[in-house]
Amino acid sequence: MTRRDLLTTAAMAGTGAAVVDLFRPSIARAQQSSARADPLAAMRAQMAATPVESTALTNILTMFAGPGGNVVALHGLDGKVVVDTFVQGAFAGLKRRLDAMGNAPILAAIDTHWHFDHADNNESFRNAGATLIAHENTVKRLSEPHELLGMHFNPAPPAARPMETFRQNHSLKLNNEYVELGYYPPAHTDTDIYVQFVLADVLHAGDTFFNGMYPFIDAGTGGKINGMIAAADQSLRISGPATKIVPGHGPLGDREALQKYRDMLVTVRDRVQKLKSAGRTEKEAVAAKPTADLDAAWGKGFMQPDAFVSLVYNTL
Amino acid sequence: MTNASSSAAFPRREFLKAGGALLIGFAIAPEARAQPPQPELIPVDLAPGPGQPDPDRLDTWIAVHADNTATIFFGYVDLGQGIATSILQIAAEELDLGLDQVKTVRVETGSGPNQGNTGASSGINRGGPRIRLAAAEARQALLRMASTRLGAPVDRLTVSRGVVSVAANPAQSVTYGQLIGDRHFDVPYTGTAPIKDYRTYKIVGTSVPRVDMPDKASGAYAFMQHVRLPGMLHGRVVRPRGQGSYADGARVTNVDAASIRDIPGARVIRRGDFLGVMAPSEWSAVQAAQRLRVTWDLPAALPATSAELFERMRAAKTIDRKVLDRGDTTGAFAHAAHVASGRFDSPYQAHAPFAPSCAVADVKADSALVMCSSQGVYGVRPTIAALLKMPLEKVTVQFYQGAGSFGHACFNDAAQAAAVMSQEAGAPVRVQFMRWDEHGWDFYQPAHTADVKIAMDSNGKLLAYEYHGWHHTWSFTETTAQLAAGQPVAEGDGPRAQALTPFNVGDMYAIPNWRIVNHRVPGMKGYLKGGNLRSPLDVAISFGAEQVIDDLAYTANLDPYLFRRQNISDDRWLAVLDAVAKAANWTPRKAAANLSSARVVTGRGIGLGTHLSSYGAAVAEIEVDKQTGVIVAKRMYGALEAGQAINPGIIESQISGMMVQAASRVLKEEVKFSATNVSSVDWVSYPMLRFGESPEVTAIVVKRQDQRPTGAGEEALASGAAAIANAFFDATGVRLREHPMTPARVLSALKKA
Repeated sequence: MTRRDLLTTAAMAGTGAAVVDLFRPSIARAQQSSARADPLAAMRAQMAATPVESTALTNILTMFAGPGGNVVALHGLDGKVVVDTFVQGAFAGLKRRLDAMGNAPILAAIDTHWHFDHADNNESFRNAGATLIAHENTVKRLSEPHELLGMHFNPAPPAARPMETFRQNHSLKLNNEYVELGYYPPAHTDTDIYVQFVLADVLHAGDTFFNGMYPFIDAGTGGKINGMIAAADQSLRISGPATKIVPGHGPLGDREALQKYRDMLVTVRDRVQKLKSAGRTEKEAVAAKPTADLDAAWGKGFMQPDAFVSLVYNTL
Repeated sequence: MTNASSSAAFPRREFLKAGGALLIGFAIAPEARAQPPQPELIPVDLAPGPGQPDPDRLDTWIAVHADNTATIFFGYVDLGQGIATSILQIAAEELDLGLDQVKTVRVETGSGPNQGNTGASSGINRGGPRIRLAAAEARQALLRMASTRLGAPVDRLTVSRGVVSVAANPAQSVTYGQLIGDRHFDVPYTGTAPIKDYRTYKIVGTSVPRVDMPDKASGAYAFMQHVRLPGMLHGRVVRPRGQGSYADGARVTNVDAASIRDIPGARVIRRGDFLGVMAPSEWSAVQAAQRLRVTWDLPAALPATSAELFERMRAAKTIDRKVLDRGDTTGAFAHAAHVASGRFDSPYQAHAPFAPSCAVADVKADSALVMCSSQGVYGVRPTIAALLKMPLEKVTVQFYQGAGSFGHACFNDAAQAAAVMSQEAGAPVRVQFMRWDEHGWDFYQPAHTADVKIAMDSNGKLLAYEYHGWHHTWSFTETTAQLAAGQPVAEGDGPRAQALTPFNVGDMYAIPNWRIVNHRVPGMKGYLKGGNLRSPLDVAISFGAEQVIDDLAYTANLDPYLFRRQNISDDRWLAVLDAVAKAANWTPRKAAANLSSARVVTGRGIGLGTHLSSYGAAVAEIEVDKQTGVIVAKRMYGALEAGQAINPGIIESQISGMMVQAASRVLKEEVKFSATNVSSVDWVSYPMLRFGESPEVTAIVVKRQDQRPTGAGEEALASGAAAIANAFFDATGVRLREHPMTPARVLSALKKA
């Protein structure tokens, strides 16, 4: 199976607009027809139409959910920092919410990884004065064309590429908060980082953590199931019992939720590995329904069970 | 002195004459915005809540009077650190007024804005921006009025000392006072007015003299201890000499009221286990407190010594938090060329103000006025309202400066005691603590014990840094509330309550593998009442961690300054380190390279440290008498970078104070106790540095005028402690891993070496 096939399989699993199911199934259905014309444009439009929900994490940290991956905003007298930026079309709404937090400048926008539902507004944030910060691989990935889930991505314009990059760790100090950025070896992609607000005890795990659902793994840019498990272990290692853990998708989580998610990944990996080691083909492995007992709990998100089994099989 | 002042002479009354009308009509923030106090959260510059003026109105912050002066309403208190002067500099600068044309007023609940407690160097750091923006906004509003009055566009107007003139025709002018004199602006505070470019500043950045000093020098200044009210009684608390285990409080088993029957007018107040005495004359109250026969039940719940305390903390079932875990620390230690490590112990330390706490309360049936030295009038108000069973809005708390604070007076035991006694007496009551109440019932800086391990490669580059610290956190229930109302004890449990952070543990160095583990000891039973003492935890941290850094420099055969230099990548840390080394005329050599057999030997040491966002570095030059074990800090150099320096002279004073306090805390200070209670209850049982023992200090302010102020009240203190510890090694070749570095410990360490 080629990489392209794999991605197509994943995309088709949810009848062409699978990604949107994650956010607002009703919107997804309503807009399926336009998705066929220009899948990326349609996806952006669909996501941008999703309402923004905000959750106060502390008095200076807020989580925004809706038009893309979960965003965390830090604000204070020194300035503001956003982690992830939603999709194009949701910029104005996000900017308005940031503006409402005070007049301090937006100092930085951090990409947890290269995917468009997280980094799509890089250029707009740069134009608003922010320094774009990400792992060095994010620059590489944003400079390439990609086919992903039936969508075509041209290389991002230079202005949308991160300006400040790092390989292992990076830190920011502002608003009496210490912001620690660290690399996850290839997991969801090969560009994943975590962003830790150390004094507030908040961790943004990016798309290494889909809270309460099977995750998507982008094998085309280095993602793999064992990396996802290692990333979950890494997040568990750097977090504590009271840490608020922001997933890339899904509701705000904690260590317990992350532990359950990690255990699910291990269970699925072990079962699929067993099938694969026994010589089963991908098709046979999927047909064996190795996740049947887990699907009720985990299979209601973006990734359909069969597609997830395929992803796991193909990244082992 | 006791009868010298009356309330009529206080600055508050003067203010009421000048700008009293402005106090009327402050909008009260809507109830919906009320939030319970959450001390663990990262403080911001505002704390919205009921019973306080609306922060979103410009009139909450500034009033311009008919005499062309302005009053600045500021929510932070000047505890003697000089922030009132600095805040006036900021306001005058943006308003284009002279410093002699602006003043602040007493901070009080109800009329003053609530910007939270004055702590963690917040006054200028968090309080300044709001004042700067409000002043800029007021100036903008005044220029708009002037434009109409003078018939000239705003961009053709110039302002000097509150006189607005048409640039082309300076004779055409109007003053701020004429434009608005004592009327409300009646506009919202938006925070959007453009502020001046720092390069054009004329007042900010200059070392103008402090506005409070003339009155202090002449004796006209009214400190808290001077406050008297008509018909006032004098009160004293009656407690065991020295607190016991925090959760256990102290229980009264018997009070013999007859024991003070012969003291004229003296009476006993008892509410729960809270005991006090009151009398019309202060001396009678003092005598009554001395002579009242009370039997107390104090369980033997404390460890008997500091040494036992540290073992108890290490053995406790702690709440552990991995604060930071960067890279692979364990792996890096396994492969490092050199590893240095040590265990370090730091004792409980007291605030020990020169003058003991004092407060005056006047509690009536339906309202209460409490005057005290709290670092947060809005913080203490709900505790008093709860004690008096009175609605919050009926309680007014006013700030009066006391003698030193350093984090002491956030909840204000004395204010609570005065309130309870006044309610019982039905008359105003002044409570002043006796020395033993002050020393013995303080909120102490919690003791700390640490394991520090740091590794480097064969080139002297740091590879891994691991810090484990054990301590309990801060207590939130004051003794009066505990004893009088049976309020359950409480301590901070958030990630920021007395906890290790990357700022104070290792931030100065470039460290690829870095682990910080905070072992929080449940501190309510078997421990003392904990509180925040200037630069909380930081003295203990730098005392230990910076000695381990020095050990590595020694192992690498490198000068400790140059060793640090090669391991710093942050320009701001490098700048303070270089500044202090330059001021001290530091000539590179390996530490302990000049060991002498003389009785009195000298040494020099260098260290880094901070609390949050500022940068501190120090050099200490000390003498050690190897026969007596006495260490004398002869000279200290302290460098502090705190972003924009509003008043460099005031920051220099802060640095001087920090260096002296560092010497005192690391050489002398330790709260001692028995299994039942604290035994450090006066200056003999709690020795601290005397004037004659103070080091000569050179203070260096590293300015970053293009940056925001980051706080200058405490951040160089820890570096001073580290510098002294490292100087001791330089002088003797021996390390002391616990403080205070007393003669007994010095002699014992030298003997073992």
